[in-house]
Formats: sequence, structure tokens, C-alpha cells
Amino acid sequence: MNVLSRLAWLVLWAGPVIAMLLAARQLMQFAQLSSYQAGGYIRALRRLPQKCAWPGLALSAVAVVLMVFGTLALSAPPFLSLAAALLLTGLLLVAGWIIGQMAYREKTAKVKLVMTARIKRLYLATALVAGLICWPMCRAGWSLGFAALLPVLTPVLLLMGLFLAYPVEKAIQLIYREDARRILEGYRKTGLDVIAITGSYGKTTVKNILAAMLSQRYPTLASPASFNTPLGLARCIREELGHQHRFFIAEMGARHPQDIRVLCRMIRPRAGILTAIGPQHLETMGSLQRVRETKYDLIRALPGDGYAVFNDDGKQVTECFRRTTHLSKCLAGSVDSGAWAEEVKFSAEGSDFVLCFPDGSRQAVSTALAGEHNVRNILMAAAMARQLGISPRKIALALEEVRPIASRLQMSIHPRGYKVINNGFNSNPDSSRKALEVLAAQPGRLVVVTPGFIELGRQEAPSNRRLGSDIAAVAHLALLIGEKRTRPIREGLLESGMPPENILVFAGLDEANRYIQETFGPGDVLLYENDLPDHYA
Amino acid sequence: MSGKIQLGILFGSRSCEHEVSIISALQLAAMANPFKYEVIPVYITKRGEWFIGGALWKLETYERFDPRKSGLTRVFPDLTARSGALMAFERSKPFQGERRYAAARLDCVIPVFHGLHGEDGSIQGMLELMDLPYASTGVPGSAVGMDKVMMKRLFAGYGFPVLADTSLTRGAFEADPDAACLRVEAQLPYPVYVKPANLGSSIGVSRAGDRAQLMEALQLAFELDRRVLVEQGLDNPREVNCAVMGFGEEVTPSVVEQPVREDDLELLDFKTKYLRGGDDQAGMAALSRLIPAPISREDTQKVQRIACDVFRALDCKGVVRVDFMMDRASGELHITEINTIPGSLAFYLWEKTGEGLCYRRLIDHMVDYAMKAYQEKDRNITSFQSDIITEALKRQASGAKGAKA
Repeated sequence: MNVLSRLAWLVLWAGPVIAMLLAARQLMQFAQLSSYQAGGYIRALRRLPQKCAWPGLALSAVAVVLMVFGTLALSAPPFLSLAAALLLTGLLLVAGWIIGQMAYREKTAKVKLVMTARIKRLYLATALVAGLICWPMCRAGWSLGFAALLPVLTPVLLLMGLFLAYPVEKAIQLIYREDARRILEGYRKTGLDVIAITGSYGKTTVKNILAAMLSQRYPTLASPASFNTPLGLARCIREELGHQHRFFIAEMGARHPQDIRVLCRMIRPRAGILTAIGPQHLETMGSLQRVRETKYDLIRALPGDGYAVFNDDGKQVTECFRRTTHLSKCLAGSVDSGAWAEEVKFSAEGSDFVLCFPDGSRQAVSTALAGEHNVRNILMAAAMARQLGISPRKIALALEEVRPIASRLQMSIHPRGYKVINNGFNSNPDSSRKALEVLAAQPGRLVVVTPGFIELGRQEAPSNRRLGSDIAAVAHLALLIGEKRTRPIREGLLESGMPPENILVFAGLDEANRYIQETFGPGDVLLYENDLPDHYA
Repeated sequence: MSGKIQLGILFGSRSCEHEVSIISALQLAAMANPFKYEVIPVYITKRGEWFIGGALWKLETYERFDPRKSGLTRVFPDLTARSGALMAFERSKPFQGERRYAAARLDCVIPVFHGLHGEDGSIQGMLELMDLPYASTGVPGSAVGMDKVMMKRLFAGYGFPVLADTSLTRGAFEADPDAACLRVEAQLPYPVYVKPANLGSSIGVSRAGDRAQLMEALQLAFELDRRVLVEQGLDNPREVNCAVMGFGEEVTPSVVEQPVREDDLELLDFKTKYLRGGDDQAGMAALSRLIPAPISREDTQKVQRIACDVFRALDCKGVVRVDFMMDRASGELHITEINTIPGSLAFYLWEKTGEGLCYRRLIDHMVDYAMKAYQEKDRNITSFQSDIITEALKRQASGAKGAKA
């Protein structure tokens, strides 16, 4: 066979593989959103089968047509056949690119696909898998039709890519984690104090409040919210932690039972805050017991000269406080321990109260943070800050600066005049109850917009049903997003006596928003409860 | 390496007038001659972190300043004499530690700060340590210009016309507020102006017409500063300002302006001074003002003469602005204060001075004065060959057996 026609043959075989990678943007985003975990990725495939399958099918359809021409072109003279092969492959790549753009719309994505080094490695691994499958067929001179059908398997190939990349990723993670550990060790020698915060929710808010308080005294670095995994924190330590910092606050997230232990081995915190234990990530955690033991791993990891702050929730966390004996501790929110609040007053602008400490000092504070749960968050941060030597006056100053985080009970007025309370960030049963409390305190017509909870495993249906009855007790109107997913909420609403005409169901958030803008105005208060990540909607 | 002067524009810092400084600095950075200077904006945050980078040219960057934003590099000034380097630290590959490099190297600095930690001599002190040419008044002049109590003592000592005043400290006030008020009343008749000693602009400044107002004004002022100046008030004074630039013997006054205030405002407070007409972001220039001030030629010359005297008295450098109050009836002049780094560097006055000096040329002049001052400093002998250590060592060696040296 002539070299040129051989080259044409290879080009035609490579075309579908590369085009497939271009078309796989949506799947790549799903892989990224599920933190490159095969389990999460498979769950996304099962949840949204059509969304995952169609780009591959569409690309294969295009490829089949082009490969028919390709086969014909191969019988042409060598030079011509190579030119035709290049042209056809080019067309296929364009098709792949277009399909990729259509499947994954940058504009509507809530969390964008980021071209990190890791996603690039996943692309490479997927290409490698596809190449390994194609190579023997290409060598054996099988029909080009097989190449054209390859994109149908995109979801599976990507899964295999995930497996192939896994050991490499593990090794890379180990290296970065070890590097971060050593960096921290170095700074620790010159006086860096490390504080860790974990809990099912509230940890980002507590972290922000504590960072504001500690910054009043010394340069403080707090890890960004989305960086609460080992790799994220390693990155934060490597890129942002510097010699000027005296305090480092690490937010620790846990999706899997061993997560906190791994994080503590790297971070080695001296002080820790346990904010809450609730049914979150039950899909990966299994049971509430496991969640509690995982979170408690943080307290276990603290040294004897350390300090632990617990949230007095009267339930799981208080229980954890009781069983802790190996270091100094306090139960924020209970009188005479850590910090507690008196004369609490809530207003439309936030809350005012008197912050009290066991040493007898009392400090009036005023903050833009709303709701009782935020007072708890403040108390945890204040107890820790006081322990680290921040004066009550400075604590009060810091509280005046703290602003609510976007999407966490953030209040705003829409140009159309209605008030919006946003609690859209990966919400859970406890935090939504708090959001409903805040809503109940508002005057006017109260509306809840929600697609319900996710990632709760077997607890999901009952929790959503309960959400329905909670909403019915507070709101006048419920707007549900997604018919199938919100069926349990609807049942809960109806059971607790909400009239069916006050329950509106929409296919997606966009439709709901269109309706909202047309319908509501001054005097209406809307609570946006939970926003779904892309691989759920 | 380009032949351009690496011109650092330092601004921001831990000051009440942080935002005003940003606007003044961006104006200046945009107007500097790009063929002559490589302009390097250097932003100091409210927490004292230093940044350089392309994002600093955009006003949006400062609305909610996020150090993680792209186009920003965290830097640390190298204090080694004449290094002028702004160091950055970066980690690349694991286990290789931090790489440090000079992210920028400054040849000359224009400090564009208003208020504490920038206009008060602190940054100037740092620049003296770094041994860099800079276009603002030196350490003592800046410090005295920021401290209203000392400034008035110094002006009085030079025989410049100032209004009668007295000063109080927080400790004395808190110990016995009534006695403090009585002391003020014994020395000054109402109305009086109460000013925190160390804040620029008009923050915390209030007018008191009776005891109750005085008490309130003092309470406010002592929240902002430990020392407070109480000054004799004038009835319906005319305010006039005059900018001065130069260095050493070369001193040039600008045209005289009269800021126009709204009738219901007794004083140019912070808001009116800086936030009015914020749409065009022209800062100080946006304030309604009369240029030249509608005063007689003799008065104008007198204002300019005194302003130049003040400039020399404080050994100023670059551009400053001297503010006066004029009794409308008697025409008597009183110096209110000196701004060693005036808002917008008073470019709007220089534009209308003589044949008109555009901002671009004004910046050239400032850099020239900075270089000239630096050369002058270079002529001073600052290090001597000394045998002290050698002598001490000798003594130590000979006395080792006996008593210690």
C-alpha cells in the first residue's frame, strides 16, 4: 500500500476519536462536577441518560455518512485520497465541536467546565482508551464503519478514562498533599496557627466570620469555599499561604468517610470548630452515624494543647462536645461556655445582640447577618476568636464588616419590587428550615421556589416530603421546579393543607423565573431554596 | 530593558481616604507620558497588602477588591537601599520551595495617598530607607502637615497667620469631659471648630456653637483620634486654596481657587468634597469651584506669597495645596492647613495657571523635582570611614585578660 493512502487510512481512523473528545464537553463537565469519582459520574449518567448519550449518537450518525465517503475516497489515487481524508476528518472535527458546544452551553452552566490540568489529563486518558480500542481494528484493516460507531460509546470510554487516570491522579495528589504538608510545617515553626472548621453546613459562614475577626489582629488566610477537599486545600496552601500570615483557617468538607482524616493529616490543625451534623451527602456517606464519626475525626486529630469549639445544637454536636475529654473545649451558644448571646433582636437589616463571654465581658454587636442560625455561627467564631486573643471590641468591629455570602440567605430587592431571599447553595433539610424561619418573619405574600433536595440517598424522598409540609406551614405559594423530582414535595404540601391551585410546577428554573417576573411585585417575598448543580437538573 | 523611567504610582493604604486616593492615582497614571515612563500602579489595600498588575488600571477592580482576581500580583517591597524591587513569591513544582523574583523595579515613585499611612511621612520614610527618588514632601514636612496640632504650632512659630486654638487629649477628656470643655471655653469664644489631629480631609471635623455641641463634637473627634484640635471659628469665611509646586529654591504658586459650598452646609464635609458629582469620576475637580477666586489682586498675591512661604517652611517637594480662610469683612487671611498630597494633585489649578500647565507636563515636573531632590541627597555624605570597630576589637584583645572592654 502506498504511504499516502496508508496515511489517509490513519487520518480517517483518528478522526472519530478526536471528534468524540470535542463532542464530549457535557460529559467532561459531569465528570468534573462529580469530583472525578466514578460513582458520582455513573449516577449522573443514570439520572440524565438522554443528555449524556445524544452527543455520541449524533456524532456517530455524522461519522457514518462521512466514513462512507471516506471508504470511497480510499480507492482514489493516493494523493487525492489523502486530501479527501483530511477534508472529511476536518468536517468531522467541526461537527464534533459543534455538537460539544450544543450539548454543553457555557452560558447556562452554573459551574463552568474549567480546563484544569486534571481535566486535560482526563481528555488524554480517554483518548488513550479510545486509541487502544481502535488500534487493533485499524491494523487489521477493519471497515471504517467501526471507527464511525465509536462515539456511541463516549460515556463508557470516558468512564474507562477515569479509571485509567485514577492511579496517576492519586500519585499527583499525594505529591501535592505532601508538599502542602511540608509548607505548613515550615510556617508553623515561625508561629502560624492553624484552625480547621468542619460540619454539614454553616462552615463557610463561620469561616468568613472568624477570618474577619482574626484579621483584626493579624494577617489571616481563609481557604476559599470551593477548596475544601485535600487537593483544593493543598492548592490554597501552595499558592496563597505566605510568610505574612499568622492564622490559616481551613474549611474541611467531607463527602466520604475518610475525607476529614486525610485532611487532618495534611493540615494538622491546632484548633477546630464543629458546626453541625446533618443528613448531607448520604449517598456517599451511608448513614448519619458515619457523618457524625467523620466530622468528629477533626476533634480526634486536635492536639492536647489545642482548642475545640462546638455548636450547641442540643443534638449530635452537643453529644460530641460531651464525649470530648482530651483537650480544652467550649460549647458556643450555651451560657458560661465559649460565647453566648443575650437580648437578641432581629430586624430587616440583620440582627443585634449582646455578645457575652465567660470572663464576664459583654459587648453589644450589630450585624447584617440575618436569622437565628447566623447568631449561632457568630457565637462559634467569637468563641474561637476570643480564645485566640481577639478583644470583644475588635470582634464587634469585625462583625460590622461581615456580609452574607451570595446564595446563603442573601436578601435583595428585585427591580420589579419583590424581595428575594436566596438560599440557593446546595441546601439541606436543616438549613432550609432556617431559611423558612427567616421567610416566616417577613411581611407580605410569601413564596417558595424550590426543586427540593438532592444527594440525600434513601432519605431524599422523605426529606422532600417533610420540606413540603414545612413550606405549607409558612408560605402562601409554592413554585416547584421539575415535575418528577418534586412529586414528594407536592405530596407534603397537599397533606399539610396547601390548596392545589397554590402549587405551581415548572419544567425548569428559567420557566419559573419568567413566570415570577411577570407575576410578582412589591409586597411579595420570594425564597429561592436550593439551586441544582448542572449534573442534577 | 527599555530606557523609560519605571515610575511607581503608590496609592490606597490604610486610610479613611483610601477610595479618594484610588481615583487620584488612576487619573495620574492615565495622564503620565507613556513614551517617557513605564507607569507601574502599586496598590496598597486597606489591610496593607501590596499589589501590582494590569487589573489595577481598571476602576472596577476596586469596587470589591479580590486579591485572587487575575491580573494582580502580590508584592513585597525590598527595603535594601537603591534596590527599588517589588518582590513576588511563587510556587511552581512541588518540593522546590518558593521562587522569589522581582515583579517590578522602581526608578522613581509618586506617592498618591490621602491621609494616614501615606501622606503622613510613613511611606516617605520607607522611600528614604529604600533610597528611591519620590515626588512628595519629605518625612518631617509630611508628618507636620498631617498633624494639625503640630502644624499650627509650627505655623505660629514662623509667624504665619493662623486662628487661635487649643488642643486636648483623649485621656484628659475622658477623665473629666466638663473640665475639658471649660478649658476650651476659657480660651476661645464660640463658635469653634473641632478637628481630630491626625486625619486628613474633613472627616470628624465639626462646628460647635455651644457647650452641648462642643461635647458632641469632642466625643466624635475622640473616636477617631487620641488628640484633638479646637480652633476659633470665623463667621461666614471665604475659603481660598492655592497649590504650590517645586523643590528647594524653585517654588511656583498656582492660581487661587475658591471652593463653592452649598448654603445649608456649614463646612465642606467629606461627602461634598469628594463624592459630589461622582459620575464623571473627576474627584476633586468635580467639585464646584471658582477659578480664579473672586478676590483682589493684592489678596491673591498675598495668598500666593504665604503659600510659598509655607512650602519653604515645611521643606516641601512636588505639589502641595495650602488652604486659607479669609474674613469677608476685614479681608484678614488665616492658614487652615496644608495638604502635602492634594486631591487630584490640584491639576485643575495648574491647568489654569499662567499659560496653563497640562497634567502630563505637571507629572514631568514632579518627576524632575524628585530626581533633583535625590541628587541633592546624594551630595550629602552619609557614611564615614570609621575605625571604631577595629579599635574596639584591639581593646577587647588587649583587655581580654583583665576587665572586659
